Amino acid sequence: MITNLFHPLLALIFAPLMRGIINKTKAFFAGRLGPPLLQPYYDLKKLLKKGCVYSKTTGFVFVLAPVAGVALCVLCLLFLPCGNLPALISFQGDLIFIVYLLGIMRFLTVLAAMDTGSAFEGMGASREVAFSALAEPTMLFGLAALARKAESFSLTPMMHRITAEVWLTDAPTLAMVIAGLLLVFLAENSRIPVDDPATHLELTMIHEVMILDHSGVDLGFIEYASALKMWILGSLIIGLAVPIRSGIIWADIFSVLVGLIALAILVGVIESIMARFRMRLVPQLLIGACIFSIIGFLVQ
Amino acid sequence: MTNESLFGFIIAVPALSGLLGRFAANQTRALGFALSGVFLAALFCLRAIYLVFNENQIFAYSDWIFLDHLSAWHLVVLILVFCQSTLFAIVYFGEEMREKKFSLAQARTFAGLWGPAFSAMALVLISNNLGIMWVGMEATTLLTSFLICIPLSRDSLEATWKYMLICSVGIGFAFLGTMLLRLAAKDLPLDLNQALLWTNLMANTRFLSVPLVKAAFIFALVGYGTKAGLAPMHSWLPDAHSKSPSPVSAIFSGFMLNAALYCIMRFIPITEEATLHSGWALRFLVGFGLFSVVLSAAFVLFQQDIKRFLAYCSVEHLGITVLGMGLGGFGTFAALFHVLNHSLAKSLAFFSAGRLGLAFGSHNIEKMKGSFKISPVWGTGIFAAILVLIGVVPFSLFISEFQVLKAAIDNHQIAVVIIFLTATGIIFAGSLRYALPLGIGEPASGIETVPVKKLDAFIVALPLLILLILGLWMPKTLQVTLSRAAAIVQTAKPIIPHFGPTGGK
Amino acid sequence: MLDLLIIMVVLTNLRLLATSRIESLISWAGIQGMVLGIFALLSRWKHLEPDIFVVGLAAFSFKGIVIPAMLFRLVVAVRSKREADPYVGFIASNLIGLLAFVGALWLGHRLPIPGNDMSNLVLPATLFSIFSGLFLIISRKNAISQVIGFLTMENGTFVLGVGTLYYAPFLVEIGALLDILVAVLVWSVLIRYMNRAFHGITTEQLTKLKG
Repeated sequence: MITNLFHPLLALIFAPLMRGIINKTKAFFAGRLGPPLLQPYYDLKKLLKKGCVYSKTTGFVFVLAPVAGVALCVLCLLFLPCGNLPALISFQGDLIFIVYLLGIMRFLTVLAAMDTGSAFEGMGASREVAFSALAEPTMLFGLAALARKAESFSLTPMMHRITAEVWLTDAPTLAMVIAGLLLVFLAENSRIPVDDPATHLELTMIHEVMILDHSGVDLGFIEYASALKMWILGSLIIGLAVPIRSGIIWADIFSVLVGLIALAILVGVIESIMARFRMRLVPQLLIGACIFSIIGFLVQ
Repeated sequence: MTNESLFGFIIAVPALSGLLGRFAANQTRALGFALSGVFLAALFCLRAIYLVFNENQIFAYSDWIFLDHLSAWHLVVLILVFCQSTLFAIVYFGEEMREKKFSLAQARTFAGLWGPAFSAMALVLISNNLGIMWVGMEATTLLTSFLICIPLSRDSLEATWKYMLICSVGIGFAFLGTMLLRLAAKDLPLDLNQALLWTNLMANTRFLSVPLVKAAFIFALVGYGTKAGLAPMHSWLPDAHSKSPSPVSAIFSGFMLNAALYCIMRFIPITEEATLHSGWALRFLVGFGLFSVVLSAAFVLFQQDIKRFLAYCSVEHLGITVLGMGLGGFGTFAALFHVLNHSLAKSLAFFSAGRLGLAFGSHNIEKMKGSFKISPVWGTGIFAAILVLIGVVPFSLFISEFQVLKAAIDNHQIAVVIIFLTATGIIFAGSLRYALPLGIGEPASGIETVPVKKLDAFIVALPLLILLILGLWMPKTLQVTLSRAAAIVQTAKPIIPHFGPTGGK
Repeated sequence: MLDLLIIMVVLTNLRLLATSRIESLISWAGIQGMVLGIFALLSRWKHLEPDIFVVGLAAFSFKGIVIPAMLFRLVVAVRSKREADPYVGFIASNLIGLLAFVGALWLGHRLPIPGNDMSNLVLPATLFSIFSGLFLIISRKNAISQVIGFLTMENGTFVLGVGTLYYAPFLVEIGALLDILVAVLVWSVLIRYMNRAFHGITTEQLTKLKG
């Protein structure tokens, strides 16, 4: 039972670190020193100390969304295995449940953004919804492909069954699903080439523009929730891409951590060598991701 | 002479003549190279054909090259059509040269591609390996494409483009068919180099995977059928035939279509044997054949360009040939006979149309009225050729058409008989409507008459004479050859038919 | 591993369907050619005989390098528009492509290949490549993209040839490769002629001959 707690705990502790690693990688590529590795933790600490400012036009949704975001992510982590680390709770169909937990979180963020009544935030919300409408089928098709492969609708047994031997026999499916999920990972976490987290021009932003009005503790919660979300999607990918199923708990934990760090570095590299796509091309990218997943699903 | 060197010469001599022609000093020499290359190769071909008649089958190059009665028969047609067309090319381009319309560059293009085109078509016929057969077929497409646009114009470029694109795509399908057949033969205990040999496949049909053979046949039929101009894949054919210079149209219609059909003939027996003679493959042939005949009947009626009209006529006759193949039995024999008849008549028709087109300065049927008065020789040629093509007694084309019909009746395929008769009836009437004014009408004033030359008369008389003689009397050797060739397609023992006096249609 | 390469062929096909730029069409066709060359080499890596090595190498260099280079030169020479002028747009093309792939998978499973010593993706990939080639030919106005459609078709057949481990004999494979090379050569000359005669290379102008 105690092993079931490892993955959520790891996530809660190390999630913000991924962002730190990404930023460090980008700084390395740009030839800068960059912020310290633990900067996201410092930011969180700073934000949590601050008070909140609420606009007069906002209602309870605006207050609810950040809290609910963190809560939903934590909930999600309870159902999420990674590699050989089992989930705390698992049942048939939990993979769909997880996708929709993330969906509810997005829904609340969007509502909160619209709640401010600002044109900019509404625009961001509309973009977020449009893109996630394309990203969601990718995830579902990808997970369906895995479910078909592993003959289980529950993530924990599914992750158990994806071993190195499966990679030898079914490399196409896994590679396609990983490619699809990676693109979704970039889109959902608003990374380049879909969105630029560092930009401050509202016209080109998607995710960041939605949280412009949040401040203090709320902003801290949102930042933490998005770090958790990155971990959640990342651990799905790493669970597939790193087929180490040793059964020795420390080795498994180590492999998951190394995998996620590698993923963060990869994202950093992608962000360093690519530019953000024009908004028009983003749907094409996401459709491409969807095609990857569908092909993964078809090719068995 | 060994078989190796014999076949080597058949391929190499025309190819070499093409190379020489490419760098010829002037137009006359270029044509001379083409002429000598083709005629020399024809001599070697005759030698090979003679060997086949004596020895039944000859092999060379570790069985990759072989000649049996089926291919020898097609080789006969090939050299007849090619030699005639080369002679005509001299007449045609000679006339164009006189009018200063035939530049050296054009002559070099023509001579550089004419001989190699012969080589490629001969390669299709003599290769035992179905893959090499495919390579040869694709090579004919590539080599002949620039023959179409020798008179460089927007129209001829359009025709060339369509020809290249449609035929290449078709041939691509045929390649897939060949590869599928290779896959179907994967259980054969043969090494790699023996695997695609037609003779080996035929000897081991029961080891082939039936679904794959069927798939292979469909792809090969559609693919080579495109090149053979079977409807509905014929759309390149009228364009390419009408825009290319007449000797080239004659080769296209007179032989290239048959070469493609020959490739299908190699696939038929394999498929039929593998499917235990269930007639599975034949049904498709009947379908394509009938559709081609019906479609050309519809289009023949509305043509203004004489060469376009002749092109649709080719679709019809190729359809009849395929129909004959599909009916099986006696129909196969008739179809093979029809190949020769159609090739002779159609090449003559294109010669005459081309030469008259030069005299009239147009290929419009309306404007070509009264060709007898302009040129007795070529006027006779076009008129007689059209009469032959629509199946007038006593020419042999009528006989072969009648035999196809008889095969249909023997098979109790009444629907086929009715459709066939209706369509050919329409073509008969429609073509006569063109042929009569074309031959005996009153020419428009101001058109120069064409002097009668011996070569011209020979080119016109030879095919007509052959067609007439074969219509009245069929030599025993020809019967035996044809029966043996038909037996190869049907994978049966040769049945030598008995010929009585011919009746009316 | 081989399966992955086959999937890459499928993906390059989809990419070809999706793109509307001539340059990217050519480069993706080239990438597909390279993948095929590698595929040919890897499929027999354990018993690599000299003739198969030559086929793989020839496929890699012809399909992957020489032909794309010829086409790039052609694009420059005829000053082609960079747009391939698709009649069918990005999303529709991809959707059609995916549906076709589903169809190809279905057909591929219906045509059982004797024995099980090859990937069951080969036949679907072949059929899908052929479909993609045909679709490129009919849905693009630019003449060069039609040439690429033809190449894609031929690539499909090549997948079948090498993917099944039952090659056609050496001479046939090489002959086929040479034929394709010459075909592209003929096409490029023809396109140059067309460019001069029609002042452009869209096939929309080729509508005079009919009936």
